Amino acid sequence: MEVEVSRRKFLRGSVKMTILGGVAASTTETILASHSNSEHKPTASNIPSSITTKTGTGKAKEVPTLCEICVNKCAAIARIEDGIVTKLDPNPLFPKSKNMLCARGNAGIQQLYDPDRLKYPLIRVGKRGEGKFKRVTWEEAYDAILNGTKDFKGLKQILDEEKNNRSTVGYCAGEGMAEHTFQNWMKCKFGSLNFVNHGTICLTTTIGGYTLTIGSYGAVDFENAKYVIMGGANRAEAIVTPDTMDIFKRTKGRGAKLVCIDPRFTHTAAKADLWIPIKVGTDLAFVLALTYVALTEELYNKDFVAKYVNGFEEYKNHIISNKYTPEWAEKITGVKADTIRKVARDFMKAAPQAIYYQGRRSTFSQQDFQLRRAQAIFSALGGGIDTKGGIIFGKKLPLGKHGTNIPVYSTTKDRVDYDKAAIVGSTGTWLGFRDAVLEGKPYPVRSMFIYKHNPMLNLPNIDKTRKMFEKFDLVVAIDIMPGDTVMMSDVVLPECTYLEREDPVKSYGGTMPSIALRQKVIDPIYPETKPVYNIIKGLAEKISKPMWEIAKKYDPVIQKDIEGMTPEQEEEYYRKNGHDLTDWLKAESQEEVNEHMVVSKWGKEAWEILREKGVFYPNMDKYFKKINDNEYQYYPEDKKFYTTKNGKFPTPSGKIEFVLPNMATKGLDPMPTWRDELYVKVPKGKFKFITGRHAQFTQNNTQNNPVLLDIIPENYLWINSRVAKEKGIKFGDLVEVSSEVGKVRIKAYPTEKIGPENLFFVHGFGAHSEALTLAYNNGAADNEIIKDVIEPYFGAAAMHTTIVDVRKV
Amino acid sequence: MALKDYIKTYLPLRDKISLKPELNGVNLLFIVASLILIGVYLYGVVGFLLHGHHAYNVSREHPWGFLVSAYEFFVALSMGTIAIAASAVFFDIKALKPIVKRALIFGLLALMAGFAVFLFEIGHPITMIIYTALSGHPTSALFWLGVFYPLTMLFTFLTFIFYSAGKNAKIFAMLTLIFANSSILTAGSIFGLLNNNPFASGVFYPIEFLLSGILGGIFLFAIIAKFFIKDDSFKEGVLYLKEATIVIASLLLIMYLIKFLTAIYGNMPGKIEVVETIFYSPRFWLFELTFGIIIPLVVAIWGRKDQIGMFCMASVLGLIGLMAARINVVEAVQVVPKQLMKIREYQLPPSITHYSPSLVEWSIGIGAIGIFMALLFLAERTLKLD
Amino acid sequence: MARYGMALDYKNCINCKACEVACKEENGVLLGADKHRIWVGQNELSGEWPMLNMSDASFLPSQCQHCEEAPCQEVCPTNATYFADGGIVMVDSDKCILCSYCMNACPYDARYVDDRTMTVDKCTFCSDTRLARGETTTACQATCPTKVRIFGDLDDPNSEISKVLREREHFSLKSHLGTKPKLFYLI
Repeated sequence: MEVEVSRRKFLRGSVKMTILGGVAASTTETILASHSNSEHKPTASNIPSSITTKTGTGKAKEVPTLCEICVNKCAAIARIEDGIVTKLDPNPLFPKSKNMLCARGNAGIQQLYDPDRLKYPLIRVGKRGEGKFKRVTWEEAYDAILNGTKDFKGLKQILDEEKNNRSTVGYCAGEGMAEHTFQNWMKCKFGSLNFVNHGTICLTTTIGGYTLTIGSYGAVDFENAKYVIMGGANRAEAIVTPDTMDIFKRTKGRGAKLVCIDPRFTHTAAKADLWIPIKVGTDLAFVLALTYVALTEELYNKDFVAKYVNGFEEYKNHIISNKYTPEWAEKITGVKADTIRKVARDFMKAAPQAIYYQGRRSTFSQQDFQLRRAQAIFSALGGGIDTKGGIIFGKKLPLGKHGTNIPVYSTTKDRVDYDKAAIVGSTGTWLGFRDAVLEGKPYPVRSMFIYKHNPMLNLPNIDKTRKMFEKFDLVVAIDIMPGDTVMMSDVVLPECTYLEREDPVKSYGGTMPSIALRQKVIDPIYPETKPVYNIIKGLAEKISKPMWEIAKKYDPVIQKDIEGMTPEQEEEYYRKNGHDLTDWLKAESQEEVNEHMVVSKWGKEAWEILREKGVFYPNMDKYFKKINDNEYQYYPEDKKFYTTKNGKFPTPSGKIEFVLPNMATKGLDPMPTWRDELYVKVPKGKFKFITGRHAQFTQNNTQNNPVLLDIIPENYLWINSRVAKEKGIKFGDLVEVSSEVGKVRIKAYPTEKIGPENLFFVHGFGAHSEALTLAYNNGAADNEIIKDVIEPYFGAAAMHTTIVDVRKV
Repeated sequence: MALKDYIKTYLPLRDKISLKPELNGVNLLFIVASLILIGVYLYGVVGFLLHGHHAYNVSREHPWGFLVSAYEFFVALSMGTIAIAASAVFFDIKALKPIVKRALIFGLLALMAGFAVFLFEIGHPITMIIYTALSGHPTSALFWLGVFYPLTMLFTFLTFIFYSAGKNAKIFAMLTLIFANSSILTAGSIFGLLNNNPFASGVFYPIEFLLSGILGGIFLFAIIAKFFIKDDSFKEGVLYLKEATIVIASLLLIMYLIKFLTAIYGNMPGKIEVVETIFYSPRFWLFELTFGIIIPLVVAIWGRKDQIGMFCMASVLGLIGLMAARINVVEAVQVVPKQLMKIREYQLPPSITHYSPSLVEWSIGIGAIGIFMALLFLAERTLKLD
Repeated sequence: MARYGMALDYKNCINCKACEVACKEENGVLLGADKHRIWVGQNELSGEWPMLNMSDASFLPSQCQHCEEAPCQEVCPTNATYFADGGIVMVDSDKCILCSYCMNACPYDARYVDDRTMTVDKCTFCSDTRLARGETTTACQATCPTKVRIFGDLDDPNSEISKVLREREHFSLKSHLGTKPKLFYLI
């Protein structure tokens, strides 16, 4: 991987997509820095002349912020010298991130200075997906969204044709602090119900499983847990704060025992006390067998169960009558019955300081929801819920609310994927939504607004996603990089990176709750990029009145309401009933909104502390102490929030539900049940494909980052050494992995860390966008070959059910 | 006496300096070969000027490449030649006297050729000259090389001009001998003092450098004798050279045997990999051993006592063997990686450090032989060396 | 006079490479696979799935050991490698001639060539960046998620590193070579 070559391309800073009639791409000076020292030379546009810059010893500006490379929002302090961000250091004040910044957090600087970044609004001039764009002003971009161009239709025409069915405009967003801004405006102001986000391609089943069982997804107290079972959650490589930091300081005989259940020997397995390789998709059988042991040997916490559990007897009978014995599980999972017994016994002995970890990116198989339920139930049998060392709910500090005046459009239809799964919530089911768009039923979804999301690479079966995009009449993308999805868009609205903007202040709960603020560390280096708050505000200002006209034209309720009104009265109605799409965005900037949210609940002093230090929680000045360079006290032990529910769990009944009778009415299992027909067996000579994480990449967000690609230049296929030898595959050989939905080419990494039945490669590579210099055609995209399988409860994408084949090329 | 007379007395210039060579077979071959090699050298230099250090295949694990080997070759050759010549002067070895003058000068020129390689190996030659003098570090073998080379060159030159002038050059010869031997032993101790390297550290390499350098010197003497001495004056010298060859080659053989055995005995990590990579490769047993030591030894023992012809051919092979020996020694100390863990997920674990010189490195290293040959030609033409 | 060293609680290490990136960002190190001042080593596991050898599974962070008897300092001909304040082994790039002797003399593979100055470079314990600004941690220590590293003054009996070296067993790499390295791996 020629990072040297790209460094020179970096210095020239040309955008790789064709921009017709546009000004020369970037304002970076072309300094051939190859023989100069690494000290930054501030250029005309405040962009450093080398990829990494050495920090200086002089006075520098230090601004606290929150990282945005992944979901954790670790608190960082940006060091700015001469207008250039030279380093991101950890901010010790945030209890959640505990004074650390991972590899990606440090590499945020390169995201800021990435020469391939979107720098100004673009509109498509060629065919969709061709990559031909024209640079436009914001006004022109908004106009194109409203009125369309000769190449694509605008909102006005689409909504007119769809008779003001607002849901014809779908929208999707990735996780981010400003996701709520985008989502809330599209849903509550614009009025569309067709929202999808990463939930059903990530963690919906585990959130659903734990929420429906114990009342909330919860968090964990790894500082005090004694026994933790992590099924597939690769915390050493898929970092979640503070779980990762807490647990790995205590494994290997230093206070906690970690059992890692994973078909692959990950870094978590390397740090665990027991690694249990398991057949992919059979975790449910494992947990059911653990439950069997706990129940039959009466190891569970009888007191806790008697007081706090509904449906225990029914569940016990269910487990025993189905004979979910360890021997039964051994045949399915490949895990020895003795091991299952030992784990169950050790778990219960350590309980209530024992946790069956929730996990995050879930949906390994179609039985995933039941798996998570079974996990929650097993944890509850130990009694470790809402207690020190177990699953905790903690406390969350309140923030002032920003109310929305929601207009009602009676012409808006229900979401198109409502019947694609049993429980379709407000974030829908992405795969179900995609199928509905392709079917065009129950009505066509004519447009798609995308914020910080990359469906072209994050949905299984990339081919199908491409077809879905071809169906839309208007695709608007708000993004920072010209990725695959941006290339399929009609209007591209550039957001500035997280280091250049202020985002909604957020409260983080847990045992040590706090409020954290992201503020901008430097002004946007490309003046035409804006935070999403201002992007939406501009859009609202442009389309509010035209949308109102269409609403008046088709909505019978509105027509009836305003019948006979004078223009002034109509204007009043328009404003009072929330049809003014700009009223939720009256503040000039996010900072104003944040100030209100904090001051209204905590006062002006708290706001000032928050701005100065980036973090606030009550009594911070008393509680926060530095113990040594590596350790800080955030809350004294007696002030931490371990038990907060006092026996009344957040379920509707107040108790932990082992049985969910509502499921039965939808034709689904009310209790975790092993369904052999839903288990995908691996045919002889073929493999089951699994995907996962490395600690240096966050999905496709980091695909173009030179400092991170320096560590892993491209992804490799994990293939068992003996299988590779049989096929004549050596390290670095190019192989082709094919499934029924597609095929990819990737280099091989024969290893014994994966079994002979499985293949793996890490997600986050294989981009098709030529505009991403380093990411284009680099490695392979897993979703090219992952089959789209919809799990029945929440419509989540079951990602570990694909059967593949591999051959040398 | 005027300066011109001093120069005339001490610097044995020929009366008539003409650069036009006698156009016979051997000379033509010589000229063509040296021109080609100089061309190759210039190609390498241009490559270096264009790409800098990136023209070389050296890496973090293998920082010493072919240029270091080539430079060590010239150094060994030159110091060996100078040592023998200086001994001939100091100990009054009449048999070798006929070619002492040539040997001294050619030794110096071989060192120049070595510097022509070294100039492109070292990263910052000017800095080297300044700071070795200003802040030189006495615990460093390279620093002492920087002391001994100039001294050797100085005393060699002094020995040469005093000897050519017919004056008593014994003191200078003694100093030359001391410093030449010091240089070669110091060059060997660059490797011998590498404490972290179980194969290299110890006495073997300094002594091996000295012995193989002297052997190389003997080979150069034999080549000079064959091509530059037109009369019978060197007949006894040939015998002398052959006897010296037998002694030194045998010593070297014994040393190699013991080094080899102690490395494989017990399969010691750090040593066994070197044996497997270096000692079992043809570059060792064919070039270094057979060409470099055994063939000259065999010819010395069983060749016709007074004839120089076969021995000269064996010497040429011997010099090839010396070059291979230098490559082997530089490789041997870098073959075993110091860091044996993977530092990236997707890589093979480090095993043996692989290296093959780039075209630019080959060009500069081999091309320097052309420089040497050209310098020989100039010396022959301008100085009275008989 | 301070004597700086680093203790590593290497069992905490999850091989996330945060330290490697932080080092490059803090010190402006060039990108490139061989241009690393610090690294985390891992083994390819022996055994056949699923019977893998756990003893191969540890991650070992390493870097220049700032040895008290540094072989690199002994062999440098121009004194470009010298002991700076605090016992930190530094390279003066004005004096370095790139003879690469130190690269071969170092038993720990700590040194590499910086392409910009064409001189030898290595970990400096952030002495010309962070320590020069008065901070007490190196970039790698500050950023580490599981707080593997403890940097400090070995001559100060009250420092965190002195305390931890007194209270816990530790080992150093290649200690039989007599280099007296100042990186200590806590067991």
